[in-house]
Amino acid sequence: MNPKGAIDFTESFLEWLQGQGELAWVERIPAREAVSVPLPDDLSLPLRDALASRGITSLYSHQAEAYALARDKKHFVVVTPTASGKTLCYNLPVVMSLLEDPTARALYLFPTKALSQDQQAELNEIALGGALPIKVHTYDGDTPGSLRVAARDSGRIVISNPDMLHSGILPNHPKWIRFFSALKYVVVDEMHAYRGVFGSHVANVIRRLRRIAAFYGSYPTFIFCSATIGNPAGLAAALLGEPTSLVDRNGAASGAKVLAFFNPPLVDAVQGIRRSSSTESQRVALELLKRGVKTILFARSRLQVELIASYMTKNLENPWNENNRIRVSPYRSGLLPSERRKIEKELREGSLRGVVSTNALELGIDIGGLDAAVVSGYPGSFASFWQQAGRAGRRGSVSLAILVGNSSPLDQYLAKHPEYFLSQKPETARIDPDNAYIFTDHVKCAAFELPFADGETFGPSGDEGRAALTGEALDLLEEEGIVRHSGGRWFWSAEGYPSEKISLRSATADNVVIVDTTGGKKRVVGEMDRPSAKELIFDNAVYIHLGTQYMVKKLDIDRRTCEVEPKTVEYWTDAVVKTDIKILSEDSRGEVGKAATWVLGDVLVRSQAEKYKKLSYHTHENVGYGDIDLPAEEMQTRAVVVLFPEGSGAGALLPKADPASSAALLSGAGRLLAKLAPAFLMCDPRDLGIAERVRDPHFGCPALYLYDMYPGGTGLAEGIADRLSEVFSAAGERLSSCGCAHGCPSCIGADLEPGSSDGVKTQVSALLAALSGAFR
Amino acid sequence: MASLKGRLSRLRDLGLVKASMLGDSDKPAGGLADGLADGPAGLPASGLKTEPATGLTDRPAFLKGWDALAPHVWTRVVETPLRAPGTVRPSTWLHLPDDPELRSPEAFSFFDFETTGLSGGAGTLPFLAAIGAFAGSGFFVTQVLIDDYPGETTFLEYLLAELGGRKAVVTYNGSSFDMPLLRSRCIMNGIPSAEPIHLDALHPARRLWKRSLSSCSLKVIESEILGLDRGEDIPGSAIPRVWLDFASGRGEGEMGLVCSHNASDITTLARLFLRIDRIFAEPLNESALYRVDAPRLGLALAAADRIPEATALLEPLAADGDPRSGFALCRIYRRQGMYDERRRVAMAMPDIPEACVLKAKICEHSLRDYPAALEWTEKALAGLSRRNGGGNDPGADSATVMHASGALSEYRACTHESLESRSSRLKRKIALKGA
Repeated sequence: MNPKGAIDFTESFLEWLQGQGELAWVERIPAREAVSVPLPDDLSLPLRDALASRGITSLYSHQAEAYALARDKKHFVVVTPTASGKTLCYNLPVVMSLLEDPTARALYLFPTKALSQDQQAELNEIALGGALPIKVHTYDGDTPGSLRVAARDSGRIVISNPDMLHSGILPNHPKWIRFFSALKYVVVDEMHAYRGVFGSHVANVIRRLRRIAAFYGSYPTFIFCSATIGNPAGLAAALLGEPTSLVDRNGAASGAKVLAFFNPPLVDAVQGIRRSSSTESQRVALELLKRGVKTILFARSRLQVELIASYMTKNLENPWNENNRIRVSPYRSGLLPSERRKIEKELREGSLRGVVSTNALELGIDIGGLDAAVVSGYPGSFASFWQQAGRAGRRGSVSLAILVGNSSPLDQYLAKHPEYFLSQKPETARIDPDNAYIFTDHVKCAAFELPFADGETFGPSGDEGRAALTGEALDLLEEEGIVRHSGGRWFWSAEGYPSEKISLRSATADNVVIVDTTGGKKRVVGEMDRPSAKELIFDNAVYIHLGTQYMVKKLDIDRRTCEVEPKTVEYWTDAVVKTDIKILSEDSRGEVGKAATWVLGDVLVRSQAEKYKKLSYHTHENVGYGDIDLPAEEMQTRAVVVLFPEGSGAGALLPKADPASSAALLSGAGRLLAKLAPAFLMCDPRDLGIAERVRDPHFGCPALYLYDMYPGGTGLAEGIADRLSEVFSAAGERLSSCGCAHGCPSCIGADLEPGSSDGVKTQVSALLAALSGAFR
Repeated sequence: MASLKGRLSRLRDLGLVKASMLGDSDKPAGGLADGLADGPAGLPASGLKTEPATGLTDRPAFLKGWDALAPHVWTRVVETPLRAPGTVRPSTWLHLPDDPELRSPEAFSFFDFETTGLSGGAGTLPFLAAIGAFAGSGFFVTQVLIDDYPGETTFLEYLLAELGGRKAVVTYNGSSFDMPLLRSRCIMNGIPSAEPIHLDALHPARRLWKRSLSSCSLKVIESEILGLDRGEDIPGSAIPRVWLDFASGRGEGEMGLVCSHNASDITTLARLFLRIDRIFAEPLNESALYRVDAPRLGLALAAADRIPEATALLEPLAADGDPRSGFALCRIYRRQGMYDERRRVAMAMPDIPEACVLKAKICEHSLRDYPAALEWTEKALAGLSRRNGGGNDPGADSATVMHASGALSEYRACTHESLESRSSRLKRKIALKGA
């Protein structure tokens, strides 16, 4: 589509949309020209040829900037919007340096396996396309033993992930002597994924990596790549432990973009209920597809994705014209790698016109450019939304991103306040590599890898606090008999293999394999992480995989298998999950601004699917129930609980006779806490769980729970307990400086007005003032 | 920063550090260390152990008879009752050049590590090594031990010198454990290592006995095959803890047993080496063949170009109706191009499905008798169905064979699918011939 035609098309489509419901707002973002520069002078001929064979004869300015920095051995981070030629920013200087020095090696780290597969495909293309003698090997949990030796000994570029580096490569570094001795570059792609507790772990894995590399005399240059976040240079510096250069002037062209908020028609004007965003987004996507537009639809869950895709396929069904050759496929985690590769390829080549996806396609998987993105309901974070919207957009064309709202107060707030929506700054990514728990865990792993010398600081040296922390950690490990001091060094003195027991991520990667057992044969259909399996593929559940329906015969959690058989039924299943928190121990108590009490202790967070609903296709009517007989998913962790007993300063502010109002106040305060606590703890919002109880069964009074999302806890609850009044005081400031009238998503939420809880914002303000110790 | 220690240790006392660590077997044996940390003297734990590393002041009882080689490094030589043989010929059973030097038993070191763990990662430390060697008419085991970490460099240098003095080194599972570990430790201590020829006795041992033993660990071979009784011993899994406790000053514990265990392992390894050598020297001498998997031995002999011995070993067994010997024999004859012999042996085999397949192959490819081949294939299919159906036919024991260790590929390859496709191919060929 040429730009002119595309503009006409977008405008005519918006007109159509206008007639379908309520076009709440439209924002037009103009196109941007590319800033191109010639290829660098020192680029060798074979590499020039390899680039030329892919049609590349010049670079975008940011690629050239990255090339110069990398060749100059400067650590840097490059911020790359979708489709800006990110991989060339590191592939070019790395491949060039590897060609110059035939012994040199490079390590590429990706947060997920799928991305590293993608990367290997692309690199192989560069290397083979120009017949460049660079061997690229993937080294992760899926690499068979027979290929591991080859990866270690002859992989010039080794592609891996932080988890494998942590538990497989670093603890066995003597086997990697040739690799570490010649390590010149480390590429950390998708850096924005490394935030919060996970990021703090990864920063410590990087410390260990640099420590081992230094042992072999290598001081590699680090190249970070990140999607847009608030503080790319800050996060890179925190991960690396020293300042890095920043490349953020994007020289790639981008097409014009039209952003629209579509509000589905009202079904019940009195209660403000609208047609469901998933039905409406299907309609919008179908209309786009029928008008010949390549479209991606983002839905919230794996089940939604399968359902929407199969409804759309059904709608397009026409045996006379092969559905006009329009095909729609679901895309989500849990598909087999080969299935995912196939869908990605068909999207790139254009044989697949439509895809319905979870946020799995947010990450940098190459699917080429699409013309339109339809997002079903606000995805929960602005970064997520922009990543999803960014999937639509091709050079020299106009693309369309449509957010289809749902009835929730949050979506409705965004419908009414485009200025709020569009002015949101990218989220800041925080990490705390010196978090005592995480730090100690990695000192432990590092001591296994190489004895610590007296006076050695783990991580960047020259910081007294960190030097002291290293000493503290080693003393502690010695007390536990894990290391022993002898002859001026600290030696690992236990039998185990420490990294095996330290997981970098909150959810472990133990997947349930879904097997089709039709006719006594066993065919692997897909896989699913264990906690989700309990909610989605319980016995008698309907499991939909790429549009095929299966009935679950037996979910065996212990053996991590789920037996299914294809079966067509007229319903799908949805588990009803109950979550509760149980106090296991109360370890310490304190006061919050003399107005409430905090309790620190161990809690058990249980979520259990006990029943499921059978929901009819299309109408989504409830057509039956069933029981689920599975053990609860349990996580033992640390929590801090704020108690509001009757008679306390803060308790008095909660209207006892009006539980709904009390709940609204607690939830408003809880949301602010959830927003501000991560800044105090240098963690990610996802690392913390928040729950409020109007009447807590354990404490017998209103309570607000803040708990650590990592099993066992990573010190977050401890870290916040005696600073609660500070946090509440900051929350009060945030609330009073918020320009909204009755609450908005930036403060206490948008769903607390109006109705019975009139003036909730003022009341939450008063509550926060009391909690921060400021008496009125 | 006292808060870190306080917080962490309190959590650990509660056993709540990480859910994944609960029930952790290598939980610190905290009792003593805690006692030191919180003891009335109020000394920090580390303060008690930072004296310069100059070796043990009071020699523990078990080190009686050991010589101090350097600070923290001890050594002794153990004389064993094992007598040296005249010559050995390992080139007949290992892929070795028939070097005259390798016929002398004195050319070999027998080597084994005891370590602080089995993971083999960078934190695994070998603390004790035994090197056995024939000298004159006897067999002597030299042991080297460190009582603390700083002795490691000397320990490794001593080992390298000792191993370097002989032509080849023999280990048990050394190719995946001891030798890479030696390499890793040298790298970590900055010592250049040159390695002699390495022979891992685990591989031939597996070939010969895997089928008749529950496990091919040295311990099982020692008692089941060599018929030795070691007397008092310590299980291998307990060894790391004994040394870690000893080195951290908690007393010698069972260190004496650890050292004798290590020396006994080496003597057993040398005996095993001699036994394997004798089996290959006289493959037809039944006294050496105790529990040996004859078809595997026959194939190994054939691989070493000792065809007459291989067939002489297997012919009587095949004639007795042992299908595995029959298969091995057929393979040997086929490789030698002795097709008539192969057909004779194959056709005389009992009609278990795998043998029917072999007969079908011979009918199809050498005799080009497709109807007969089809008949054998159908027979194999029927037999397989009976077996899978759990019937009480005599073929059922082949399923046991199949699962038993040491199954030959003939068994793995005999599946319903492969038979079905063979059957349909034969039908096509018959139809084609008919037309």
